[in-house]
Amino acid sequence: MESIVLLLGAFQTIFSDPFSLLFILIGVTAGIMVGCLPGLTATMGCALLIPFTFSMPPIQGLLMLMGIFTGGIYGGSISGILIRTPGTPAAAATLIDGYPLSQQGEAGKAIGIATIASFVGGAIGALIMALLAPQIAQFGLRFGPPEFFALAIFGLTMIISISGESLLKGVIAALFGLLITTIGFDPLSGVPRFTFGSENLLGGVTFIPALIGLFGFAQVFRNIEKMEIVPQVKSKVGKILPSFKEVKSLLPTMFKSGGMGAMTGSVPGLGADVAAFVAYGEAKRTSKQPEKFGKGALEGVAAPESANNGATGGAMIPMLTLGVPGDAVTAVLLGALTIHGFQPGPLLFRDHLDIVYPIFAGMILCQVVLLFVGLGGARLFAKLINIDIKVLTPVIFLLCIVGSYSMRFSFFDVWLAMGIGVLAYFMGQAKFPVSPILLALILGPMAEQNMRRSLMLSQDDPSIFFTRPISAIFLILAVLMAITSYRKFKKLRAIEQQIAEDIAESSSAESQK
Amino acid sequence: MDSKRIDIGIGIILCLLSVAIYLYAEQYAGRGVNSYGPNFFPQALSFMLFLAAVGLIIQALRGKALKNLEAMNKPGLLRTAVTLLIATAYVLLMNVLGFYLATGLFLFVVMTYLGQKKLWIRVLVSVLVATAVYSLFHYFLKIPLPEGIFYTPV
Repeated sequence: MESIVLLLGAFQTIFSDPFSLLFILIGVTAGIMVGCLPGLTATMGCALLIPFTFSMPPIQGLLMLMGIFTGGIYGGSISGILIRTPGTPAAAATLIDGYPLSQQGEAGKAIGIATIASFVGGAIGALIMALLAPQIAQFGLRFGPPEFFALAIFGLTMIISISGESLLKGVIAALFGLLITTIGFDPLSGVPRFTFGSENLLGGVTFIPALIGLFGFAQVFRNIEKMEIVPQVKSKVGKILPSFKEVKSLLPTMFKSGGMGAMTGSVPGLGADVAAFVAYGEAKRTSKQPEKFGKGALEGVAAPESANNGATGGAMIPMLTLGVPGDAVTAVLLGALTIHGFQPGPLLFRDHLDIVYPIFAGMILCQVVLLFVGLGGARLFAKLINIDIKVLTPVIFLLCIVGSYSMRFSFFDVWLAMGIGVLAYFMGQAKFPVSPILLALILGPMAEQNMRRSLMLSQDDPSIFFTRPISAIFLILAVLMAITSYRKFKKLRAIEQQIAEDIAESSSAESQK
Repeated sequence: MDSKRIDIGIGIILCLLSVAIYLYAEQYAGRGVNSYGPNFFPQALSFMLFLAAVGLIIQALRGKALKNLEAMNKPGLLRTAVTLLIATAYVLLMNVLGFYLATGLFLFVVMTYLGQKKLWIRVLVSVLVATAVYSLFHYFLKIPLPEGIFYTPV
């Protein structure tokens, strides 16, 4: 009950300041733009726009970033439907039925349903977040250093086990990221580590340059490399608003997928893309006409879109309450909170309710704004896909450079970000996943400091991690989840491969026509 | 290069790197309050990295490396490298020419290099974007940008 009062109060705070609403609007619009352009992901959008939030009051900055997150995940569906290229990885499931609809001349309807589904799913996710997060934070207040260490290990295990095509390469990437976090002053002993006498490294590898390197520069390099291979496809839209009857018949699917998405998203490591595939599979399994899936079933668009936006709210839960991000984008949001001086975790819910509830309220508002901007501007966003990448790429390149500079006004950071970008680019070439590095950057300090604090408490006795029940449970869960999720991950891969083959088949059949 | 040789190469580099980190971190030993000092975490990680790298080499030798590594796209790689060089020159030039001028020039050169044919698009985008970014950072975000030699303090 108390939380509802606080939530209403937060709505009042946001509505009393027109700028907050404006920043949500800007965020959602920018997010959709970034999301619908292939080659620019939601993660990249957040990374590039964080610098713009530095000088804003924290709440407004966060509202804008959440808007980008929400809009970015949704925006991916537009290009998925129109040109069979997911604008953001989370939309990969949407195009299975979205593109056939587009071929049948129903692109507008598909986008309209995707928009409504995103709204429904996102709103469910945000509500679940607002109701569940305070309880989890309450529970988290009981955690001491051993529990947080175990939690960090749990988070890392999850992330490694589902990222990329090879488990071993994921482990290597995570270890590499963890090693990067040991650069700089050791907070417990004050010893500078691996700085090689450079003053710039005393504070460690700063988050923003690393982020822009991993998700900005690396992607720009890939775009430049593939520039001539990827043909530009022209897109057409048509009528946007689906009929009320159609929407009504899809509502159960949307509600169910949104809830499933929020639950999937709240498990650290399982992000919006996994949620979308899970919901698509479920919708197909329970559908009365499963044979229509893949040929333009409206449920096939509604389910994954509702789920991936539901997952945005879900993914915020572990990030806010325990400081463990659910996926790469929430890791970016976590970084943004830290930059604004708020350390996510159970204490945030005790000390900074003035931040927490506006986040919940803002997340809900983002969905409403998304609905209107999405339905109203779909035609414009669809035109964006036709933007010349030869013009767009240099501009993004520029934003990466300026963005990495603007955190500390430092050219060292620009070189660092470019260096990390080159490394991440080659990692991608050798099929090493990059996301584990980002999550290791956040979970690394959490793991190290809590581990050593625990060992100080126990006077060097490592059994402290197994004798405290919550910590022991997390460590056991980490092992169990690693095993089961690895199996599930393999299955998911098989499904994705199947889909890829189907698409390849259908396009080769098309070209023979 | 096939994926097997790439994986083996990376494995060997990572092995050497992890050994180097382990030895380098030895100097931090004994400087903490208990026996798990500042050296513990890096050394534990480098030990695990070593094991993982050995695992990668073994996997590759057994022929289990993923077959579908993307073939190196040489012209694409070259294009990326050249663009990166232009960007390097841009960052260095920024301190001489100032942010505004260097940025406009950078955009124009990269667009030309990437093959944007229409001159008016190149000029228009360069000027507009440079102006927009400069105004945003200078006036709105108040981030100090390099002004360069043409800057005359008012």
